[in-house]
Amino acid sequence: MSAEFLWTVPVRGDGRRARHDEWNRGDWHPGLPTSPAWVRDDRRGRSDPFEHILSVVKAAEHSGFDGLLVPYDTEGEESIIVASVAARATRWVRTVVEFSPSVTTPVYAAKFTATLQRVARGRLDWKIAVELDEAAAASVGDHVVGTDRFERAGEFLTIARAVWREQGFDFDGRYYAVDSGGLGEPLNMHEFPRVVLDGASPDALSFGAEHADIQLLDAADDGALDASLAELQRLARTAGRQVRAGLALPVIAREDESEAIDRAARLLEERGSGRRADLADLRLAAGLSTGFDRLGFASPVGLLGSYEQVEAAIDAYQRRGLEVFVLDGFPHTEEAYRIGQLLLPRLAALAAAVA
Amino acid sequence: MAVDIYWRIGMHGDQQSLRRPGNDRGDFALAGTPSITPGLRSGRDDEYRYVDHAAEVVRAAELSGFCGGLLPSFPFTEEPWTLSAALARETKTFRFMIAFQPGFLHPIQAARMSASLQRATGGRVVYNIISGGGGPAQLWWGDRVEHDDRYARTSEFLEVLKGAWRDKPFSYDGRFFQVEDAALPAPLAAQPSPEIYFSGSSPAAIDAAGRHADYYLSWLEPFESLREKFDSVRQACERIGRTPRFALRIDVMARKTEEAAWEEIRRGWEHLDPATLAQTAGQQSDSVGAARSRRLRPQATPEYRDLEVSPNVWSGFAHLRPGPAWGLVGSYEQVAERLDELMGLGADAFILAGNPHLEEAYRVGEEVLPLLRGRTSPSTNDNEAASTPPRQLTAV
Repeated sequence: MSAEFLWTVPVRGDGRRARHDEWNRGDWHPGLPTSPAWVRDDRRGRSDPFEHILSVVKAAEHSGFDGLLVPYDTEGEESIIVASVAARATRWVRTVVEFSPSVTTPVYAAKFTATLQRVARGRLDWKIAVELDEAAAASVGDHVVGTDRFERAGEFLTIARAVWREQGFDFDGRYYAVDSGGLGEPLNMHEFPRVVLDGASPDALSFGAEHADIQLLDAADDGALDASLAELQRLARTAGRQVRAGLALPVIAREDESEAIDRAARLLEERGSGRRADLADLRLAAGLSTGFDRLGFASPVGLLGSYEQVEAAIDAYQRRGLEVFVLDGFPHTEEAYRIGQLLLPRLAALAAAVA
Repeated sequence: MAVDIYWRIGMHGDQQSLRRPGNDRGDFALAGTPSITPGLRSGRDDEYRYVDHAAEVVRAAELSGFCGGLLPSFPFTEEPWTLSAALARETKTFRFMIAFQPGFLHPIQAARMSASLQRATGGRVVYNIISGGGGPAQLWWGDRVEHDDRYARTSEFLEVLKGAWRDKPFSYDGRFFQVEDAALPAPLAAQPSPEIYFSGSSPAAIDAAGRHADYYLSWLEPFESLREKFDSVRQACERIGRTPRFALRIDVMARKTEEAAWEEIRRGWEHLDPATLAQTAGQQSDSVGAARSRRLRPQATPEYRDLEVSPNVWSGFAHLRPGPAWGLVGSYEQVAERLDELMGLGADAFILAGNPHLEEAYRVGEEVLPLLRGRTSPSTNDNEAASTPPRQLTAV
């Protein structure tokens, strides 16, 4: 199966500066400098944050990404709304909407997904946020903790998938109950979305083997990566299922390595989280580096180098069995064009050569 | 104080005419009927979906002077949150009145979705809070909470939704919902909290609505019975220091002449068989609104005109298309006069509808809305008619 490349949609503003509180896109941080008052600017006083979201969405679509990931972020823009806007505005790129099972019932999730899948003309996927940070979860009224979260997510996915296809579906579980449920035509005309899950713990792998179509593993723990992948495939085979594995990776790629390092160094210094000299120690391999968490990314490990080096790093992951890559970089519009135009074709050529 | 007049956006297809039963617009259309559906040209999937038809109905409503539209939600319909977000960028002034039940979304999630949709639309989100009709439809959703408990849940839902929007941080320990240190991120909290149109007729509903509703929404009923209902809600609200506003959901069959309007009804009536006429809509619902509607409707008879309970007020719509029984039939002037009368009774907003929703939006918007004069008394009450000045509609 061919590799898949997704771009991440920013849901808490965006910008080119390292410090997120200086991110001036998407009307997230008000009061940042604009042109002087004596320069005509008809935007003044008007806010249209979704224009920015659309600029990222269009960038990913036009530059050839396979999909967009809209993250579930309790402190950001709401993902189902963003995903709906993205799906309606696009024709080719897929939209992966991430959400927590705590936000809605599985029947309602199937319901809004049916409409969204129809708006997307079959291009919608799910990502289920199972292991939310407990404080974040409590702040959105979710008090299910520990391994109970997997049990609830399992019921959720079972019911959502069942009502998509069956009529008169009954379920009586620990978290949910349904009497005679089922979506009618034409609501269920498309396939149920593919389900993306993440995590490499034994619980997460076990859950993923049963429920994921794509499992994102942990790039930060490279030593465990091959074993996690092998375990995932073993469990999936036992369950009679196929699961593709992937990684979420931030990326800073430029024409040559020194340019990429310049960019990373400047971002570190702007954030006050390091210095240029640190980068040599953070390098893991050609095109791969740790320290991205110091630049505000969730994942510490990311792609850093020339396009050729980053291509090689992704190739190395692909040879280890990883097929899906969720990339991220800021500013999200320009970086989508850059990665889409200058990196993805190299990766496509790679795939063609291997085939 | 502006009067808000919404249209209804059909969410599971549409019927080209009340003369013929059926569903023939968008991809909910039944096979084999003359229809506007996917694959019209080539017979293959041309990717035309219901959202594309809904977009045109929304456009018709926006162009014709309606301030927005109600997007209903039932097991067999499209879903209104996602459809509204999909159409957000294709509209300028259209307000999305989203129907939803508090049991389906967590209130914090509802707050987040609403706030982001406010950002996507520039502040054009409105709620229609429904608490469910009970019976099999409720169980379809997986909702086993009983009638009066559903209103208690609704009340907690609104407390949490409004609290999370207003207070930072917000904590709540209720029977149905518990949150700790909830807070919408600042850019979302800065959005206006949507107006609430609240549906429900039982004492428990009126109790729950009184605290939170901006508008109390009802189907059309005989005018005296509406007057009683409005008075009852006002009294309930007085006890908690709130002044409710009222909204009415009304189907309209309006034509240039009264004769032409009834002719449309007559042609539709011809297609019905006696067995169909004997059925009543909403039999398995425990909704108090549906029960009121059945009690108030005269005994089923085969003559369509017998269902006209007072001038232009007709209770036979459910026989001609799925939905509530009551609506207005008459000339443009007559329909406008009845709406004026309803404003005189206390209506502050309307949600109008007609089949087909696209063409009738143009017709009602262009022909009926300009004839509205505002709050006038019924013609039998001379005292107020002369002294009450006409209300101004806000210009679109």
